[in-house]
Amino acid sequence: MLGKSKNVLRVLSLLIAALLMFSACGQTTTPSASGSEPGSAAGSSEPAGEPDELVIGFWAQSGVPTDYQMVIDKVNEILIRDCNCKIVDSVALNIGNYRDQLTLMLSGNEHLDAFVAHYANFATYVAKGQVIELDDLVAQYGQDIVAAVGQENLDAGKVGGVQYGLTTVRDLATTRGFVFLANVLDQVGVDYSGYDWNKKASYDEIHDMLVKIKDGTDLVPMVPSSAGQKLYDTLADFDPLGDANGVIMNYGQGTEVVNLFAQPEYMEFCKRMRSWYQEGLVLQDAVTNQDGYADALKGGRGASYTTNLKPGFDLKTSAQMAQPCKSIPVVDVYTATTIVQTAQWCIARNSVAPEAAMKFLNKMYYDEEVANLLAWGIEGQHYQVIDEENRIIDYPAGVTAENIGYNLNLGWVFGNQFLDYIWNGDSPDLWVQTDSFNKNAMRSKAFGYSYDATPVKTEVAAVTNVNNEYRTALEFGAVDPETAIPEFLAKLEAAGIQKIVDEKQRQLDEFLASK
Amino acid sequence: MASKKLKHIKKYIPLYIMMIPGLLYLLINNYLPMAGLVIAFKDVDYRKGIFGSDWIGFKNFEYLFSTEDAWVITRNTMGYNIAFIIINTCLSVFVAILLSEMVAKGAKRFYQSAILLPFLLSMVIIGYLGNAMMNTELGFLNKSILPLMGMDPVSWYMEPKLWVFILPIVYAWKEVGYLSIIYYSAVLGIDTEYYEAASLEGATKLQQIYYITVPLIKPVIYTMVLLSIGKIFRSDFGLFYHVPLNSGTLYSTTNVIDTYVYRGLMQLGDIGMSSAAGAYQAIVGFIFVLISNLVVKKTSPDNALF
Repeated sequence: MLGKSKNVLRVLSLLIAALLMFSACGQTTTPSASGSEPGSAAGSSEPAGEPDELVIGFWAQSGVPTDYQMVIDKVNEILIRDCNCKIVDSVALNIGNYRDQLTLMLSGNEHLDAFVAHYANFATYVAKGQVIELDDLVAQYGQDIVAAVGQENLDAGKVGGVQYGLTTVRDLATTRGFVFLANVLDQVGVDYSGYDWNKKASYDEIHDMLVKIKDGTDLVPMVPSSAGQKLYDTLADFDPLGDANGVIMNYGQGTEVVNLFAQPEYMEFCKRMRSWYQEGLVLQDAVTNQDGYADALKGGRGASYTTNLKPGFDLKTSAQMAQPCKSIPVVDVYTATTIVQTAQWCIARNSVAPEAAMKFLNKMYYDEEVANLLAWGIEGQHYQVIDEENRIIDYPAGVTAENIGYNLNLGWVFGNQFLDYIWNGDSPDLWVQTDSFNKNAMRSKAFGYSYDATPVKTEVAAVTNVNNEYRTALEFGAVDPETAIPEFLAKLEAAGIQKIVDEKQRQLDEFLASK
Repeated sequence: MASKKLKHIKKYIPLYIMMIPGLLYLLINNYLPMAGLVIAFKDVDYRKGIFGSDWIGFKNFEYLFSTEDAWVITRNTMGYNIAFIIINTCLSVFVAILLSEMVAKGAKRFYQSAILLPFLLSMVIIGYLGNAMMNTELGFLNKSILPLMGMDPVSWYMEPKLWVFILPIVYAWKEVGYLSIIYYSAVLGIDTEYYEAASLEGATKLQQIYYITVPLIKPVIYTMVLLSIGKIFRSDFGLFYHVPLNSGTLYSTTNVIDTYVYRGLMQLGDIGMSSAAGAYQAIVGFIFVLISNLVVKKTSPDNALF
């Protein structure tokens, strides 16, 4: 008996020793990583030093294209020459997997330098210390980023006055509405020529179009854009302040944070969708639908969906759907922190060479060659310039949309989109239009405020579950809002939505006071 | 005494050596990560590291119990698992006995493979098979079966009540094949002399099953049930997430602890709160195993696990 317990003790002490070893390893890596920072900085000031190795992360809807490495090799040639760094690995996954993968990489001690953060995760990364402060790095190596983005938009990447994220230069505002197959609209005799990003339609006008489609074709007039879509988010005319649990109504033109779902606007929206659903204008399986809009529209099932819009959207989507598409907005052009934060570059705490990462980012924001390589690939192989003056490009001879080796189409993610060539078919003044789109946008009063959910994460977890339970069904009209919304609100109340709203209000007041 | 023990050990050295890989696996995969349990009680801050982060007591556990959903998910998790244990055990013992009574070799093999097949399918695929049956507009049930019986179409994915039956049916369809093979092999292990003696005494087939087969495979049944009771606080994520196609309207009867945690934390990505859920499930599961083992020990000591 005594011997047995001795054995147990031995095993236990062995276990503890093993644990200590593991935890000791964990601790020693951190100082050595930070210790290497000055060394790498010294290395990069001498051009002869080994180039710093960077791991970058961004989302890529269709995964990594076949010629990706070839393009990165070209980029690396420039980076090694000018910044003494090179990209050795990339995390490029579709958005859902990307966010999971990043959470894992940032939680572990995996090598990651510069990456694109999604707005839903940004404040959490900051609160958890998974990304580093960028002010000094920007001041030292990133002045071209400030010049390209503009201080006002850079402010969206600040938390508590400290810069953590750098937005890319692209459409930094949004309008939202419906996207139709233009042929279908023609077929049923809808005149859509007057609508544009600065001329919206009313819901009644949209309703008439959907009715005509229902009567004139056997298509489902309106389908969800993705599984479990929260429809009101893609037609929002409020500032969601991050996650839409607690919003500022009317394009954020106020400073009062309210519970969106308790607003009369929400009831009105759900009632309208309920009647559309009952008229058969909306996919009857909207709640359990597993298809994206592309499958539904290309597959000849649906005629329209809803999404965020911007200049040049129609041409882009028409190319994707291989038939003409027409977008019709139902909200005004506006911008809010969440919208600018859609794509922001951050530098991970795990970064072994933050200076090099910043130099790479800076290069991407001002060097046309790097920007166009990442956006369009290699000239002559993936595109050719057909109009030097207007900077228009097209497929080279023998290359088509089907066999092109590089088609990330992520100019808006890779730094400064205004440096990019314009694809043939897009309007030659696309970037001018986008610039004026950005400048004319209504700006939310809370612009620059980033919501940090950490203090109320218990409530957020509970509220998220309640949202999932009700929102999709309510917003596609599958249930009766008169009975479901009171139920929904009672459950939200029990889950603690008021605490979230109050916390947001507190954070916002603090932000406004500090401005 | 000591030398006897040494001799004893020497005799089994090859067996001990064979144990090493398994033990190592257990140690690395199941025991070392237990240190991670501390995460459940920490406010994880990557700047400070896991062990350096602040202790926050049970705060990470709060979200599991903070709303009325806590009751719903606990009820669903426990209720469905108890139903699964009872239904699947009865059905698979029944199927195992049927298999063993089958005389034609070819038919026996065919049935064995046919009932095992669903077990090999991924829950994602089963979710789509379910959708093919229950889709509101295009599903087999609404389009072919119900009209044939003169009934109105049903919105399967909008009626929480129906899922109380749908889920056990789907799960039994998937799992029974696998379980029945375990029980079938136990039945095969029974000495045929018992049956010969019984039939000489004039026992009917049913009597043979009731007095010989079932009592003799009882230890296997006990072990399998005890093992499932250990998992009573965990649920088959795929079954509760993919099969109802994540339909919000069905949450009152399909939301279980695993899906609740997954849905709630997808946005936050908070490992502290996810660890808390894992710890909670593990500890409650452990307690259940101890209790049920104690009960078995009291009622039939030979069949207890430990």
